[in-house]
Amino acid sequence: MFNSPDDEPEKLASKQAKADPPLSVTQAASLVKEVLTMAIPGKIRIVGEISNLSNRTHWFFSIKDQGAALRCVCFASNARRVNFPVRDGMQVVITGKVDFFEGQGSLQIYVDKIEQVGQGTLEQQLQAMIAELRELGYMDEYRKKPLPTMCQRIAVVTSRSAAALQDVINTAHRRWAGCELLHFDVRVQGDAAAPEIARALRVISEQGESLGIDAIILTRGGGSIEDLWAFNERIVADAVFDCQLPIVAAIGHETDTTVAELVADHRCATPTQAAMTLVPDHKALEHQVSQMAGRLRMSLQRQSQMADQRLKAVSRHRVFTRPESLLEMPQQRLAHAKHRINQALPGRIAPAATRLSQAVMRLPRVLQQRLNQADQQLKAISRTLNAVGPQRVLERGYTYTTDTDGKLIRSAKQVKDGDQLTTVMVDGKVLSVVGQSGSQTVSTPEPTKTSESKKKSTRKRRTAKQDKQSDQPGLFG
Amino acid sequence: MSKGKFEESIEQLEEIIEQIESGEIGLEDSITQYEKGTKLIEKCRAILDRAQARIAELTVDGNGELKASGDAQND
Repeated sequence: MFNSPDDEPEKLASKQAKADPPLSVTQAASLVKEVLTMAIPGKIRIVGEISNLSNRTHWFFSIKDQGAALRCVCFASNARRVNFPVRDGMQVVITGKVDFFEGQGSLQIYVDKIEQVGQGTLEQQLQAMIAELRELGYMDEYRKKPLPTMCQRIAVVTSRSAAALQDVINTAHRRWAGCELLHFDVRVQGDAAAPEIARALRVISEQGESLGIDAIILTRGGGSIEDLWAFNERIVADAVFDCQLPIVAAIGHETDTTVAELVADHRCATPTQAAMTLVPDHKALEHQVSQMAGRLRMSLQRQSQMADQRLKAVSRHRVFTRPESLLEMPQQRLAHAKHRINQALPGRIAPAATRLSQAVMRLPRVLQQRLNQADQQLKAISRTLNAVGPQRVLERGYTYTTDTDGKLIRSAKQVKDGDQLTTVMVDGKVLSVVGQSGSQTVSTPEPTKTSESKKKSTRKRRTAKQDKQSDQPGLFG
Repeated sequence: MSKGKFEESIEQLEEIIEQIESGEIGLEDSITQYEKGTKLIEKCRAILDRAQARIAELTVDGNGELKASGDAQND
């Protein structure tokens, strides 16, 4: 009915909206297609940014600006004529025909020609942001934190509904179920996403350690540059940069680059890879512990074996097996010393014995010589003594007189009447008393002979011996 | 960031083994250290054999405090 050649499409559509029965989907799609081709009959040129490019054989992509996006297809025959590498974010002018693809119910532009205009605005913003942050040192390798080797608690910052979360959970549990995951739910797309992500990172940075959190996984599945844009915002970059805990980021597909990934301590291609990077492998750790246990056992075994060997070696020593051997050495030394003494003694004694016997032979002769010499000396001295001694003076007829005390009388004035005097002569002594009228002497020329007769007088006889004892003549004294 | 108990235990084990291997400590001390080492190994195994498979939710309460809550088994 609406195929009638005289009817305008607008009229057909308005007629149909009012009328029953309803159109089939195919009919409706055909109507859309017809209206579209009639309204935009020829090729048009559109300027916009390439996005979601899939360029295998035929190229499928979107062309978009801030307000809208249109699906495009560029078949291989046309794509081959494009003489520059086409990338997402690139600002281009496409030439093509707008058509409606009924099979998918979508509007598509069949692109004949793609011309380069310049880089698209989002891509430009991204590159500008990367350049700025790189300049500020946000991406310097030296400030990136090392990842813990044994994570036991990991915070996962992503959306609850994201497939990425499930990938992290599955991988973590496969590697080591003992590793705890703590999920912080945030939006990962849209205007609210960036502030939420930044806040989550800041809170975990400040308080995560008190909850025993070792590291953070920041992740999101693949999407267009618009979808991932929250991860390119400065607020997120600052939060990643300031975070006290190490961050592993896996955002979008491997080919996507976001600012958050470049600033993060470690970048992974996928959420699975991020989990593998942080969650320790149970088997590897088990192996490490077993190795340690083995080494520990071996080390002690080795030491105890060594100690055992030393003990055996020591107990085998002759000190313990033949204690008598301890005496061998001293005995040998003693025997040796004895031998040496026996060897040495005769040699030392013989000369001494000879000298002794010679001395014994010489002794009487030398002694006699000495005696003779002494005798001669004595005689000579006696002779000298006799020549000068008091005896010789007395022999010449002199005498000397002493008082009763043996004191020498040198002057007549020393005596008075009644004093007893002793006069010494060569052959004896005479005792006398001083008379009243001067000196009166009673002399005895032979004292030895007259001793008896003089007893009646005042004289007293004294022996020669007594005289010698009483005094020495002071004649020469 | 402080090292975890597992890593600390492994480091202590390394030290113990080196001490015993080098022979710098006597046999009695080696036995004491060996006993300490076996306890560390048990501790490490206990950490590894932990299998809670827990997923906790991190939330921030009204006071801005980070809480781990709603622990759930997740297999």
